[in-house]
Amino acid sequence: MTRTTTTRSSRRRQRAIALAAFLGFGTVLWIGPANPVSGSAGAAKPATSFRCGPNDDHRTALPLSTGRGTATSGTTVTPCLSGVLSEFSVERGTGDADVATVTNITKVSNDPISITTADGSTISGLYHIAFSNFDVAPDEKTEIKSIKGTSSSVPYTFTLKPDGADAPVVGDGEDVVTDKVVTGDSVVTIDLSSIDLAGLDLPIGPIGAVACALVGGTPGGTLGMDCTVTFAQLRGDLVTLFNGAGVTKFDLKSVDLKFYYLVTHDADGGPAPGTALRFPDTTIAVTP
Amino acid sequence: MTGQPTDREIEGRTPDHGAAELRQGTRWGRAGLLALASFGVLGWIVGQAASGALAVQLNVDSQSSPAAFSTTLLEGPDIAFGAAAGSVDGSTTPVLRAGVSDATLNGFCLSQTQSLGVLGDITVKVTAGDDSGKADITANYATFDLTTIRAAGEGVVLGGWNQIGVASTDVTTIDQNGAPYPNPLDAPTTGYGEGWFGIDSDQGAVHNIKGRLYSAQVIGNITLPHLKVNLFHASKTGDAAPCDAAGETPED
Repeated sequence: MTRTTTTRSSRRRQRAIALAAFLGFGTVLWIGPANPVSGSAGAAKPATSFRCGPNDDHRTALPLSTGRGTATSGTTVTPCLSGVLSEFSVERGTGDADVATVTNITKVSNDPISITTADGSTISGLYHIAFSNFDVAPDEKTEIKSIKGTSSSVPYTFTLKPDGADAPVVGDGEDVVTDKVVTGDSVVTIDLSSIDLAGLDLPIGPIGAVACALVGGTPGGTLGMDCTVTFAQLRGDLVTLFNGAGVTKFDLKSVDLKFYYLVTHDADGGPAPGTALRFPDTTIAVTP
Repeated sequence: MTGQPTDREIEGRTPDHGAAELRQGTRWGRAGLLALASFGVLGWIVGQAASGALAVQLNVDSQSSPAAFSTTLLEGPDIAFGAAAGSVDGSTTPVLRAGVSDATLNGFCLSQTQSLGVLGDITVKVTAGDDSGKADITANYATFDLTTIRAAGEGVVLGGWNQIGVASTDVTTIDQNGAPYPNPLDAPTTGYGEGWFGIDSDQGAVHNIKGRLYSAQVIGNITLPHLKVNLFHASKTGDAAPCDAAGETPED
C-alpha cells in the first residue's frame, strides 16, 4: 500500500483551480450602491437634455408636417443628429405584388434643405418628406441599415431587420405621420393600376405614362403602371396630385429611402397615437 | 495491526498494489458546493435588495465572451437603442446599448457556458421571475450592452414619439431632479455624438427577446422574485439549457 502526498496535493490544486474558475467565471454578477435616478423622462414632445454643441447650437430645427401638402403642424423638433446615413428599404415583391400601402406621401419642402449634425457639419441637398399611415405587407423583405457616416474611430454597422413575418411591419399606425429627411435619390414605386385614373383630367397619351408624369416619375412595368419617382423629382402631395381620382390609399411596389432622420407623430404635431412603429420577428444588431 | 483504511489512505493507493478503487481528480461536488454557496450568498443579498428598501445597482459583466440572455417581455415608458463604444476584455468594441426607464420584465434568464478543461463545459445560469405572463421584475432603470437581440413574435413595438437617426448621446430615458438625464446611454461624446446612431422612443415594448450581452445594469428599487443561480454541466438539457436555446439563437 502506497500513500502519495503528491496525489492529494494535486487534487487540492485541482479543486482550487476549479473553484477559482467558478468564482472567476466569465459572467460576474455583483451589486452595489446605485446613483439615484427616477423613472421615465416623458415629454409633451421629444425632450432634449444633452448639450449638442458648445451652445447647444448643433441641432437641426424641423417643423413637423400635417401629412398633407406643405402645411406644418406648428410643432418643431430639434434633434441632435448622428449624421449617420441609413437606408430603409422594402424590396420589390415576388410575383410583382404590392409590398406596402400609404394614405399619402408629401414633399414638405419643395426645395432641398440642409441639416446640421452633432459635430456641427452641414449636409445639404436633402428633402423633407412625410408618409401617412404607411404599412408594409406581410412577408416582405424590409430592413433599416446604416450605410455611411458611422463612427470613424470605432466603425460599425447598425441593422434592424424583420425576417418577413406574418404580421405587417407597421411603419405608421392609424393617423400617424412620419416625417423624414431623405436624399434626393431616395425612391418609391407607385402602383398606378389601383387608382381610378379615368377620374383624372389627363392629357392624351398612354394612361400610365401621363399619370406618372403628374407626380414627376418614370413609368415602367405593364402599361407603364409602375411609376418610379425620386424625391428630388416628386412634384408634391400624392393626394393633391391625384385629386379627382378619389384615392384613399396608394399601393407601393418598392421603397428605398436613404434617410438621416425619421420621427413619428400625429397630424397635430403631438405624440403618435397607439403603435407608431412595429417590427415583428426582428433582429437588431451592431457589428464591427 | 492497522485498522480499516481511511478515505485518505484509500485515495493514496495505486492500482499496482491492488488497491481498492482509486479515486482521483477534483472533488467536483465539494468545489461545486462552495461555488454554489458563494452564488447563494449573492442571491440572498440581492433577495434582500428585492424588498425595494434599498436603491441598488445590479451589474453583470461578461467580458470573456457574450452571455446568453432572454426575457419574454421588456418594456418601459421611455426606451432607447443606440450604437455605443463598449469595453470588452480591455478592447473597445461597438455595441448595441439599450436603455429602459421604469423597466419591467416578464422573466429573466442569463447564462454563460465555459470550457473548464477536464471538467468539461459548465453553464452558469441566473434566472428570475416566473414567466407567468405578468411583468414581475421591475427596476427604475435598466441598460444592456448587446451584440445582437432577436425579438420574436410581436417583436419591437414603439409608440408615441419615435426618432430614428438621433445621436446616441441625445436620447432620453430617465430623469434626474425633474429634468431628462443627459446622455443616459453613456454614448461617446466626441463630436457631441457624431457618428453614433440612436433610436429614441416614448413608449416601447420588446417581446420574446433572445440576445447576447456583454454587460447589464439594473438600477434603483429592484424587484427580482424567484431569483436562482445554478451551475450545470452543459450536456444537460431542460432547465440546464442555455438562455438562448431552443434553436432560436440571435444568429439564426
